[in-house]
Amino acid sequence: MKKRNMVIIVLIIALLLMGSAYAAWTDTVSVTVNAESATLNVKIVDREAPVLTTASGSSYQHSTVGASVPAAATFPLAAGTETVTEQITDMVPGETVTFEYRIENLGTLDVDLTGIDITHTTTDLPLTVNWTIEQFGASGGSDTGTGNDTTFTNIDLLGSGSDYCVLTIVVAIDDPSGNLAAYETAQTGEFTVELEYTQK
Amino acid sequence: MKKVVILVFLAIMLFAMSSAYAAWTDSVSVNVSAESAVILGEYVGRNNPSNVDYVRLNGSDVSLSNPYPSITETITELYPNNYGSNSVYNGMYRVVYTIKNTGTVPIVIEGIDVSGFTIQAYSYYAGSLTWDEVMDTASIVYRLQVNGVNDRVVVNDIESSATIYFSNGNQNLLYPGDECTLRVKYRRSTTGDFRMDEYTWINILDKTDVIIFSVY
Repeated sequence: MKKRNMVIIVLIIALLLMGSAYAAWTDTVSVTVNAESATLNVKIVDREAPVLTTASGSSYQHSTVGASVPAAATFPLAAGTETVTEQITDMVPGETVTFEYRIENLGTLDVDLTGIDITHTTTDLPLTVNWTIEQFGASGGSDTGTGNDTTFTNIDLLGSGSDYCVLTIVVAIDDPSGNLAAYETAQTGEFTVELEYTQK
Repeated sequence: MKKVVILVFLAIMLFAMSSAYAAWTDSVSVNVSAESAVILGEYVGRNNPSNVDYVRLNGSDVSLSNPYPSITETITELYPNNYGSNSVYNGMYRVVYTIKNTGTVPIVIEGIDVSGFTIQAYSYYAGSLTWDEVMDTASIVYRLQVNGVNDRVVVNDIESSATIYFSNGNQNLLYPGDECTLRVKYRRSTTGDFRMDEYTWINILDKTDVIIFSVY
């Protein structure tokens, strides 16, 4: 009996030793990988003070007062912005208001500017929208037009570089009739200009 | 069953692909709201000429609360001005309007567009007075007074339906809220011919005067 107990104790101790040995011979090594995606980050970073022009000699005579246009923007914003909202009031026929924006690629990926999409959401006041886009940097390229255009070619913005483009938007009241009766009440026109881009 | 699982799997993959595409195509946008000025000059006041058979067609009252960009009048029994034996007909009808810039930008009053009227000439005398002879005695005088400065236009050919233009140009400037007066005088001159002076009169029916202005 005593002998049998001794055998059992020995076996238990042996098993415990085996477990320790197993633990001692099993281990891990680890590799930490920090994966960060590339960034696609095109922003409007600056805007010139809007320019108001009047049509001297038009059927509406020369306006010396002119539309009320937005004040100079508080750009440059630290991180830029994807959307800018502008408001013009007291616009009269013959006047144009020109906005100019600087757009930069703040991301790490190169992008292609693919087109302009203009959507008129309120059309009580018939507005003409002309635009020009010009690229400054290594790749070059420019385009100009009216209305929607998706035929940009060779207008790139290189990532993390010094490339930028200037988008110019010229807004005018389209009133070929010369009839002031249309302005007996205030009319409103609203539109959105989207500058579209894609990863190059 | 296996086919359904494959289709669901493919659908999920397509969704995943489209999400990835959207993430790499983007835009920046500019939203512009443009509101026009209100460009308007209106009649906001009209006196009531005495001894005149006047009919104003486009409203019972002209007032600040009931303004009109145009006004239509009928003037009847316009005798020569020496028909003095009957003071009812003094040979001259004068109406004074108040014009106000009711818009939001400065305007210049340029003139009055005259249209839509009919002229009648009558004679009680059986003699040989021609239409032209009767008409030659009639005239309309417009006098615009802005900030105390008068601008006067005389129309001798009252049959002409045309726009009359004032000559002071930008002096006829009204800022928003400013007012001026327009006196319109319908008159006939005496000829010394009793047939003309006592037996003829003119009616001017439905004469519409529209204010012509431009943006300053």
